[in-house]
Amino acid sequence: MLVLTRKLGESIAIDDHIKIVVVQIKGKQVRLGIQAPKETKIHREEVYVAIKEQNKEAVKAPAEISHMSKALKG
Amino acid sequence: MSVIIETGRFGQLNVNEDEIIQIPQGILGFPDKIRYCLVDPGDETLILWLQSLDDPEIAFPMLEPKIFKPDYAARLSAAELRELKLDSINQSAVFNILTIPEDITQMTANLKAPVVVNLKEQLAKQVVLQENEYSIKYMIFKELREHLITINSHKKAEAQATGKPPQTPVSLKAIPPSLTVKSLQP
Repeated sequence: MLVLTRKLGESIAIDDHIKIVVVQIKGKQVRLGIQAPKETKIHREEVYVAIKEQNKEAVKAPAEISHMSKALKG
Repeated sequence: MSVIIETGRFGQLNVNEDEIIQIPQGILGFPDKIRYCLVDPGDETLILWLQSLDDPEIAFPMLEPKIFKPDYAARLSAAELRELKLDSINQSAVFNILTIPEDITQMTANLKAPVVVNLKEQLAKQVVLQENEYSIKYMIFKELREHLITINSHKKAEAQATGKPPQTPVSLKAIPPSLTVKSLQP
């Protein structure tokens, strides 16, 4: 992984169109500003973690599914 | 060439070449499971199962969002459209993965990360949408139940003399393209 040191107000550029600025540093929190083309998808890593967890829950659906159709249609 | 697989949930399935869906990146959390098929268990709940062909124990229940959330839209980036080889959005279908607990009234759909299928190329991807209002755990039992009751009341007129339909893989050609996929580009 590439590691860069930046001061408050400094930024890094990724490709030609993405800019990440250090907007604020407060204790253990860093606020980042991100400038990117509209179609770039930007997510907090936690979103991916939550989706992975949810997918793992999804495969645990009860084996007996006939009662499900009864409950849904009754 | 067809694949015969003994699945944990549906028993033996005979999957034809044109029923196999490739998910090169895998479903999130399952990166090494890349070949799937869609299974209709014949229970008339409209729930289809994304059955892994690489691991017989893995199957994700899925539902088309138009059934429980008609205003749903999956906006894909140009990169995602390229990855799915989607040059026309009307060759795709969108599904939300369901989480079904023991108490099925608590079933939820993942709106944030739908599975988008290119029906023509038999290619799919779980896409993470940018919309913050789309929940990972969206309650759907009430809407699904109402939808099924409506369908069934229409069906009652027709006599249903046939027995229980067999559990079968679904041909991708049998799925009508949905209009719930949109390009992020103007």
